[in-house]
Amino acid sequence: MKRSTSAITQMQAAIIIVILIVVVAGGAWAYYYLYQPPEEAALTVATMSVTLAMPWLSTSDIPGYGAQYWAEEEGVEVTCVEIPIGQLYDKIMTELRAGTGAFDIIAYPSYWAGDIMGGDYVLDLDDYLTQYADDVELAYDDFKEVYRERLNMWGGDTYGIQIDGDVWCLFYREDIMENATNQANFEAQYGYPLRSPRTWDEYLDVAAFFTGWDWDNDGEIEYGATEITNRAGAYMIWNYWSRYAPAIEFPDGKPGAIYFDPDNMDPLINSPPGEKALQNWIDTLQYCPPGAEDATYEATWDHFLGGRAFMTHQWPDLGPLGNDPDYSGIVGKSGYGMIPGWEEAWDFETDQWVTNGTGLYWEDGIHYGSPLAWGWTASIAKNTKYPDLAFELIKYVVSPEQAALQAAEAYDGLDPYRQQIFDQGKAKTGKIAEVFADVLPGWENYDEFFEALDENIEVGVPDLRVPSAFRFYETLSVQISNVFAGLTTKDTALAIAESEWTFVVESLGTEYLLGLYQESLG
Amino acid sequence: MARSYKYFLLMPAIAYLLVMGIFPLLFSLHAAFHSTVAGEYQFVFLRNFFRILEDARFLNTLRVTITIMIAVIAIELLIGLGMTFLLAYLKMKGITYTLTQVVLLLPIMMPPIVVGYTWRLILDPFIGPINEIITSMGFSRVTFLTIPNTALLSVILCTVWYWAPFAIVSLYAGFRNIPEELYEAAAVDGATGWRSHRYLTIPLLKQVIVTVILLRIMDLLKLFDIVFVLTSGGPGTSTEVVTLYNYIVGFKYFDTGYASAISYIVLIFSIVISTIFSRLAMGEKK
Repeated sequence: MKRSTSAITQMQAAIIIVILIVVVAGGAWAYYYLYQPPEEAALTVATMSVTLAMPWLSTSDIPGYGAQYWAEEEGVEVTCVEIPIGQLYDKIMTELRAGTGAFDIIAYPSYWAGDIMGGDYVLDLDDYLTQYADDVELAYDDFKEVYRERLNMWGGDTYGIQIDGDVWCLFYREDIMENATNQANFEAQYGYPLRSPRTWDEYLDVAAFFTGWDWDNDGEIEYGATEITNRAGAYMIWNYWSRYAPAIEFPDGKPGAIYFDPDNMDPLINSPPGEKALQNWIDTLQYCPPGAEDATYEATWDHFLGGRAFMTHQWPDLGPLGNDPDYSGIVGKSGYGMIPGWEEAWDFETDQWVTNGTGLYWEDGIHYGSPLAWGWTASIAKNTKYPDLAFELIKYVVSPEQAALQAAEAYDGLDPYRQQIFDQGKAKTGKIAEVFADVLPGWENYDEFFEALDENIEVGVPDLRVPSAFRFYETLSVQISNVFAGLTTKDTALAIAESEWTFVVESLGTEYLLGLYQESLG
Repeated sequence: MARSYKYFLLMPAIAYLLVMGIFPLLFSLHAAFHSTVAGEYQFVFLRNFFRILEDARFLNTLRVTITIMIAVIAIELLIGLGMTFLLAYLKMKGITYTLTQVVLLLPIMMPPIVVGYTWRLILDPFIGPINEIITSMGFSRVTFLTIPNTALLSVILCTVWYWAPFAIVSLYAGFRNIPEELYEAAAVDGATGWRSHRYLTIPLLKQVIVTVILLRIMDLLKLFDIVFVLTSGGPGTSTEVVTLYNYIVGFKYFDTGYASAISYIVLIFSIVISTIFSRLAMGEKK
């Protein structure tokens, strides 16, 4: 057999391998010893990306609105790593756990505080807050107390700065509700006036009343409500907490203590208030548009903004969105209200329902509780090379000027968190009045929106803020989703979720988690 | 001297294999015997594997995965054989079908994420074209992705749409390797049309069929992207496949030990199935 003339000799092969080894080793050496970081400081911000699934939810407005402008002014390079929202948790946590130093600033929902603040991955900001105590750009005392004193703190120290004042809020079609015929018909049918539902039982009545007929005369059949029920990302869970939280007389008078017994870490979800909340949610689905058993967040926006559903309850973003003609078909037609409560609340100490209570969040015989759901928080990674610059950037992003712009922007996912923004919004004055007249001129009743947000924050219930909070939320979401899909019963779902919660608590260490849970309650 | 020289030349390949292949495998095996929930490794021996047996959610994902696997492979083979016969018929009639081949291959060229989103839009109850047709005929909207059975069916059909071209191309390539003389001989014996396929084509394609089944089993055990985009495993856990659950356990719960144990169970399952089908294929060869 003739040997190929193109075949390389053994000697040539050896030379190639030696050259390869020299090149690789030399490259590694050169990178290690010769590479110098750029003189210009470079910050990397982890934030949520614009994705096909959710093109509107872009907290990349951190660079979008202010950061790039700030960066140019300061001569700093800012790189924004945009991560799809569904992968935000795993991406951030993987980088933090591995200590890669991939991010200088991270933006994350407050319920990951147990993992991020409790995991000791971010800087204690107390020194900065002292240093900038009189800084008008930061004006930290102007932040709503619940964010400043609770959500941004861990173990008595501040580790985050709120960049988004999330709270659950009720949205409904004010124009349809104020219609005299609708008012008369509703009262005749239910025996009380048509109004923003005060209790979850009233919510069912209103949803039933507005289901199955064309109440806006567009030739289509409409529905009473729309709710997030899709399990992806566990966003649906706040539709459960919004019903569950007010059904509980808060253990130790602490609204955040509704998830576990603060004495022994026993899960509280498989309980009379848990069943009551889930049953109300199940009952509501019959009054929602087709596909209610697995409706995504986007679908609920489509239903409400497209005039297909009378009401919904979710994050405040729907306020500006509903009044932006680029996205909404109901500009100027929305009303805003408190998340409904219950006329009774379960007392875990006596194992009895309490009526006409006088404790926390009781008002006129109704017990309230609105989830302080999600709430973007910005923190500085502990291994950043530029902590001062990172704080400067955060300070700029949360400045009153930027906060006013964020409040009016429909698609940024950032909601009001400064008291002055609320005050100006409710009085329709100052910077807010200017911005709203410029950005959302069709929105006349935005004062009612700020009023409703403020009322909901007054009865705010913090998220669970312990390590693996996402896991607790996800496992419960999956079980509830199984109920909606008809794959299991309400009782079985809550029992399974309870056992999974118990398993996670025991895996993490009951004593360890109990300490963190109590710490998170303040 | 020459022997050690060979080993010297093999060194880069061995180093690559060790770093990129063996080390992750051994590391995940190490993780499977440890608990990592509390942020540190604790040796738990077989606890993660025993947990699998009690994990109803995992067993459900296995059931869903196997259901999808059986349905998808069966439908793809039927389509593959049907299209092979059709293309053979067209060829016999002298009809040009180059364009048909290109169109047939189009789905498989698309990224799975795009396929998932496209089908999600197509199946949307309000803006999807299928529901447009359904409602224009006077029927009620069908919410394909919110009812467990139709959601599972949607995942199956979407996967079939995506991967059927692979079965078509493989089977048709196998068909073209069958000598035409065999068909001429069969025709002399009176076997034409369907009978020639029944007694000639299908038996001679057996090895290709077994290979297609084997490759599709391997692939469907790793099914992730389409399910992730189309249903996210919902409604409930009705379309949650084993890889999606594995991803959730590993990257959402950060329960690395348990996630590794699940991976090994899937790997063992995969090895057993592939061995059985490989033997079947080899047996046919003998």
